[in-house]
Amino acid sequence: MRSWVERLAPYTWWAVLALSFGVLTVAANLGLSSTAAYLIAKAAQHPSTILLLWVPIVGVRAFGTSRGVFRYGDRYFSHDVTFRLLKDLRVRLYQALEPLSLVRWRQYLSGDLLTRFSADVETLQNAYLGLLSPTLIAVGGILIAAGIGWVVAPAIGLSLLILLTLVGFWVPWIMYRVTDQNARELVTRRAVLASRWVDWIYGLADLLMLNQDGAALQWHDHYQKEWQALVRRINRLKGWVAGLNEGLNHLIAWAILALAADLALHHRISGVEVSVAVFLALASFEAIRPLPGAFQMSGQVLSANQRIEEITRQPVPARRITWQPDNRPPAVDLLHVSYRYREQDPWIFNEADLSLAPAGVTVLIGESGAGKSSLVQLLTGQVSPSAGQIVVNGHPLENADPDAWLKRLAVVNQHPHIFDTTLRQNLLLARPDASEADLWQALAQVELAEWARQLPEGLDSPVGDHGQSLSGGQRKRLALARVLLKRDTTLWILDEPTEGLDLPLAQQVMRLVLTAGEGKTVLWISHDMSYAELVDRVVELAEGRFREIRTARPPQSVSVHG
Amino acid sequence: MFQRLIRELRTMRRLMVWVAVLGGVTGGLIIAEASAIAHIVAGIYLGHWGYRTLIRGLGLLLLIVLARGLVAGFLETGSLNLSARIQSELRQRLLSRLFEAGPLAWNREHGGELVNTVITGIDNLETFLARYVPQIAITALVPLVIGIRVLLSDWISAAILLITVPLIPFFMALIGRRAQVETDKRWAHLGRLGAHFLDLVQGLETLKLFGQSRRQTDALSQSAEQFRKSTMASLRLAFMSGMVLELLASLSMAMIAVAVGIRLVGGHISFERAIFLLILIPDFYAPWRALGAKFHDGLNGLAAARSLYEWLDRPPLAQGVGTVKIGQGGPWPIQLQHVGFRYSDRSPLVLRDVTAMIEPGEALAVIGPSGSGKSTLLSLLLGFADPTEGEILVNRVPFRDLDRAWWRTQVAYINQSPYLFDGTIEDNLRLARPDADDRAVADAIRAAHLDEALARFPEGVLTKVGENGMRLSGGERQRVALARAFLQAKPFIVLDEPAAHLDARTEAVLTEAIHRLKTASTVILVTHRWKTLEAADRILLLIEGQVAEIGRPAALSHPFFRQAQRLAAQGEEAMVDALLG
Repeated sequence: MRSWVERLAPYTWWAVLALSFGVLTVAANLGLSSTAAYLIAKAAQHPSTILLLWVPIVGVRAFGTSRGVFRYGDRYFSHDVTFRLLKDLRVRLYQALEPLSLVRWRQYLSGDLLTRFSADVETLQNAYLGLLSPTLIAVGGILIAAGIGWVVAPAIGLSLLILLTLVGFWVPWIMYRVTDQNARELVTRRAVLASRWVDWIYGLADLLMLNQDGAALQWHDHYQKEWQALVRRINRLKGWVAGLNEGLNHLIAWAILALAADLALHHRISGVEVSVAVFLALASFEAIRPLPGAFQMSGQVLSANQRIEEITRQPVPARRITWQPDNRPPAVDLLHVSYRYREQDPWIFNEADLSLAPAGVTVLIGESGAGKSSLVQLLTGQVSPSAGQIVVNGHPLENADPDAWLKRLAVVNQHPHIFDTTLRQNLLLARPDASEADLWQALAQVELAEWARQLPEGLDSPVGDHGQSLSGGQRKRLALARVLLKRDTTLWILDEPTEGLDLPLAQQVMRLVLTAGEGKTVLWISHDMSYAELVDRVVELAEGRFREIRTARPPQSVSVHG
Repeated sequence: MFQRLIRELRTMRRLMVWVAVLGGVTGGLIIAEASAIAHIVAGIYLGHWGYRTLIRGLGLLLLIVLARGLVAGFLETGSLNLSARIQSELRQRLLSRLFEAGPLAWNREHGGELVNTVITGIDNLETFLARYVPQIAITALVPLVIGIRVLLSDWISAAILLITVPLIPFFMALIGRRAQVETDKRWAHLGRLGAHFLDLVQGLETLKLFGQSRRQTDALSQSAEQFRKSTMASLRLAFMSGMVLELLASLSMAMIAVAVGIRLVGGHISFERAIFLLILIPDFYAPWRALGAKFHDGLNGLAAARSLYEWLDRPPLAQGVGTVKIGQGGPWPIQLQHVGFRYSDRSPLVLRDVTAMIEPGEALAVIGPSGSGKSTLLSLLLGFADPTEGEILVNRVPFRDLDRAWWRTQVAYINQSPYLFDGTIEDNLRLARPDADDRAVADAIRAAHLDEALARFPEGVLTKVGENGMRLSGGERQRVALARAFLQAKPFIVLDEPAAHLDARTEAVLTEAIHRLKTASTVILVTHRWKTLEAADRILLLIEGQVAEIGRPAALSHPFFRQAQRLAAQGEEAMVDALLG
């Protein structure tokens, strides 16, 4: 609860405005009902002139008109504040994820993350609209109703105060305690379902060919049965809450009527006041009516909130920054580096040593699973060695300014991520201020220009989710174009950059890349020796260690520049 | 959409009957309560009531109050339960439809949006069905019952009500239509926002490498801000409709109070009747107001229903309507006769006039430059869609007559990045043949050389693979897929770029595996790797969706193939692979 109030802080005045309108709406309704009752009761006494009824008539009209306006203000401002808060929350969710290391955020399945971002944030909308605001408005409404009641007779005011508070807060609180556990379970289950759907959608072809569609349907059927059972349990409780709420609300009017009748029979209050008291009681429902729903929701809201805070409260690992990478090509040394993802996992690197000479080109070969991708993560600083040290130009990498280090790197990943936007935006990622000519040049260097020109929308063609409308080779070339575009880089890490390229293109692209990469430290990850003759040295990665295969630069390499 | 829900779902009709009955009962109880209260107040006011009559009156009122509570409880539980059943039904249909439509119909879509439809969209339907629909029934019935009762007791008040009545639906419809447009936009926005976020999270590594991850905060913030604005735009209209309704209700209550008051002064109406009317009037408008407040839920629900139906209406490309199962055991010959395929009527042909014969027990490799239609051809053979032109015959049975589910039991499929489901490696293997005994599993693991790869995991086959097999490398995943194929022992084995991300060792394993698999099965293979090609008996060269040449490797003469051969002879294997891309 406290965290919501904290988030509310920037919008305090808006929130106050929204609440004031809310209380005024309830007050106008109370005013309308009691004045109308007063009007009727007075009229029934057959006053000598209708002018005596002038004041209540004006009152009735005024309350009648203002109510709608107040309601509009209440709804408008409270929703406005709420959706601003939700927006902040979504952005904060991303901001919290952004600095976490790769391994760390990987523990959250992406379907689960999406649920947090969409469904859970939407649920939190009820924290303000469904929970916080009705509660505060109810408090104001109860006090006003009790105040008017007090004017009629102190006993009626006091009874209203006690009954409204009991029915408004105590009953829902008990119900909340009963339903809370179930509501939490519901939120958790929803996340399970979401990650299953992600599985099914992205693995559809395999799933169908493995004839797992039946099993999936069966799992889903079973899930639905369990979900139904849980939901029915919750619905039964919700029915109790709704029934009790409706019954008890009317019971308040009943009790006030009984009390007023008793007072009237004892001649403590007049018949006019009896009517006013009854109408006041009937109108006061409005203040507390939303409360049971609010409390019921609080379980879902709290656990959605918890799931969001699980991420927004993640500690960001502190770093001691002692040096800034400069624009010289770096010498990179791995000194007795050991690394594994988790403690129970096998070692990926076991006291491995490797040095990359400044401005040298090294081909690294190794079987899949040998740890080539982990090496990329280590060198980019996304993960740190479990033991040993990575030293760049004599400084420990862990003490480098991480942003400045990433600025010096250009990487083609094994599976480059292509964003679901246009071709242009995917390229601009590498150099936001690139001119049209820069983009076309980079595309030409990777032999994509001709293809891009044929697209109906050219650079502004959307590439689809995960770059689906591109072939594997095109995706790699697009990633390569990004490397070429990126400015001020000193270290290139290229994970199988030529994969899927046609022969003449591959050759041409390779030459261009090596020429453009001259003067930079280049680590070329490949699964075969085919490129060995183009480079200074070849290193093999096997069983967690690096082994030098060849260090001499062969004479053929001259042809690369020819 | 609403009509369609009612038409297609039986539970939906039950829901409608249920809420209509309880809505009518509620109307009756409201009138009973108002007349009981008015009776008591008038009795006390006029001063001719004693305790005995008071207690009798209060007793009756108490019974009515209890009944109201009961009805409210039943209405809530009943409509929520029915709504939950409708939700289950829709989810189940959506999933069946996903499988019927198959990857060709879904591939190019945004997966995030679909997940959003299934999870948030169907949740929105609950609010729609369990809150909005009952409110519609109540709004239709309660004012009607109350209106008739008011007419019976005072025609002037009834006339005031009657004047306002046509205004209410008029305003609701007027504003509602525009609000609906806005709400649709909002729904689309939320889907896009979710997809944007998912894209960012999955590409976070890339963003970080380009130093763009923090800058994306602004883009996301803008996206979220746009979403907020569209939300407020749709709500502003809903609130406006609420205000109009509120004003109508309050003003007519005020008018009736004044009109009744003036007649009371003249003695033209009894006090009890006046009180009765005054209690009843707010209840005449309350349902409209409540409906106005829930209008937004209603629109959300309809928008959700629309996007659900959009998915449900996908053509069942992968399902097929055939029922034929070929009796004797495979593999059988497959004939492709003038096969052509286009994704939709307006898109160009991806495959054109493909004619070929695939002999049982042979290994046929399909090669060609990127974009030549190799993967589409495989999709047709897998049965994810029917050819739009020509015919595929299996053992002389037209493919479209084959039982699609049966056909899938005859084919083992390995694609370039085999999908692994969240679970252990063993779970992923057993998917292929759930009844396999431990020995068969162990044999398959050895045959695919998966045991070598498993050595790095202390938990062995019980290692959890993580979402989408994240903890395994490309080669390890490919070996899991191979082990699946060995475990299945199907008459047909289809491999789609199986060597795309592999190192030399895994590739050798793969080539050896193909040699072994083709002894008992027909192997159809799309590849761009020369090494893998060695396992093929015949090669089909596909260029721009057409068969350029087909035959034994030694007999091929197409310049494309010749060039590849020449390069291979010179040891330029990487170049060959690139050529075959």
